[in-house]
Amino acid sequence: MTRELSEAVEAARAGDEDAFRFLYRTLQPGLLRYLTALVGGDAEDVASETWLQIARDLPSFTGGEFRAWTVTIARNRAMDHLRRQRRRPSLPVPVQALSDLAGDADTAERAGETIGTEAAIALIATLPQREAEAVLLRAVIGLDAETAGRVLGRRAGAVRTAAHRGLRRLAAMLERDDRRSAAATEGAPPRPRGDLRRQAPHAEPADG
Amino acid sequence: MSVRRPDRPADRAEADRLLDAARAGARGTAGAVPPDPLTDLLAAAAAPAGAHELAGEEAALAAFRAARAAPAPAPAPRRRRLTARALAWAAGVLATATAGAAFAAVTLERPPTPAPSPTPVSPGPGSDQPDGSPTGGTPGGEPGGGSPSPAPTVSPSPADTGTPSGTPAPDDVAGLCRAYLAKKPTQRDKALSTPGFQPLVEAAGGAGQVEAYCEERAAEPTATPDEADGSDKSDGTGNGSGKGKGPVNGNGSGNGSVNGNGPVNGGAPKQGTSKANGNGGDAAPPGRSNGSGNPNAPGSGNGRGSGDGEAPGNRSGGAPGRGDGGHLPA
Repeated sequence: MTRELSEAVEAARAGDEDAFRFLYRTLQPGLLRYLTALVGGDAEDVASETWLQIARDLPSFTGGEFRAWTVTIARNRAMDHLRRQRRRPSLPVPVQALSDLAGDADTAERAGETIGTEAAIALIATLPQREAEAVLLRAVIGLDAETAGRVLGRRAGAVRTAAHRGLRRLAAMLERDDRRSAAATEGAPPRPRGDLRRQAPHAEPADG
Repeated sequence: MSVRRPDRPADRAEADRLLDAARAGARGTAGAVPPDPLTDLLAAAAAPAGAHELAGEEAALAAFRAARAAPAPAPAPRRRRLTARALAWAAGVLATATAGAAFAAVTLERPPTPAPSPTPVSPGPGSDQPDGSPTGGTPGGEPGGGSPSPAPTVSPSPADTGTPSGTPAPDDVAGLCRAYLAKKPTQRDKALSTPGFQPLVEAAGGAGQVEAYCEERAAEPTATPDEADGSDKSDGTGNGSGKGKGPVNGNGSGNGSVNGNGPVNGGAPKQGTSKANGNGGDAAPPGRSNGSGNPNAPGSGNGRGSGDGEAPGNRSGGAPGRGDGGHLPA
């Protein structure tokens, strides 16, 4: 995969359009998902800006991890976007949109479907930003902890810790969802056992 | 409650494993086993692209094509070159304008006393960088002669190296003459061998006759090229300084102010018509002078320019000049 990617990068730098198309198809999904966690509904716009810059700066790419290079561009664009947005506070807060999406995740699960990509990203996006970024860069973009640390400007150990915490938090959320959905499917009258199970999450902070 | 659930990453290594697995595409373990929800979630997050996610593909490709068509690095040098050219041009114009003042003085020279004026000014031919700071408008003020022409400075500087650039119009011969006469006798022959003086040599009919030719011309009451009326009375003083380098670059500056009465036409051959500020010369090429005098110009000019020009032909003169104008009490 990596070799394929770097060959495509070389070809694209030489002007091969198909190679660039390959790069786009390979990298865009991860970038878009990562950007969704950062800027919510504006991710598509920011992704377009990102690709514009990738196309323009491709000749200046000097080697190294191409994924990291692109995701760094995406992150910078996202930060610019958020700065612009802060200047216009009237815009809806992305977090709100994200928790709406997270609600969809519940729906999907209740319907017994496999969790969808969007729902998964939305759920991850509810994590504190450090953890969400660490999880996304590792699991979705596919960077190792060292490279992700370079992108984020943090040490690899910090990235590992953040990712670990993020996963624990996600697991806890899923568990809650699981119980809730279990309770829902068990029938309208919640049985005592269900009530007991629902207690568990509340007790969680104690051992967490 | 020290419950450790299997689906919770116990430590960072476990978390790493899960994260890596997600990327590798280990989605929901084969159904049979109760799927680990966290693994499932991560796999979903890293799932292959949906069609809607690639909606921007054509736009990205268009950007790629555009970037290929107009590579970013290219424009920069071009712009730089342009600005350099523009600067050189502006400098040349300035220099020309500045030098003009000096010329104006020359122009106004009264016919009878043409010879003396130029002396100090014109840079020696032999030296590659004649730094003439002829200032002083030697002649300036000469009341009798009334020739304000202080500084031929700029114009005549015959490139020593002799770049033949620009074939001067016949009128230029006057400028060459002045330049020639301004030289020390020992340098005159050498100067004549330079291409810059060729027109003069040709006009005189041979190197040997140049001196006589020029003196004759100088003696003529009215400056040859122009029709100055002897009736002008102009007093002026000017300062000029010039610096010439080689054939092509010249620096000159002059400033003069002239008050004249009478229709005086600048003696400068080439561009005769400027007003208040004369027009300077091309320092560079062989003595091409441009200048123009100011006929009735009760004014005084100051000019300051700097430039570097490169032109083979006539106009080259870059002249960082600066001059102080003379004042001519009319």
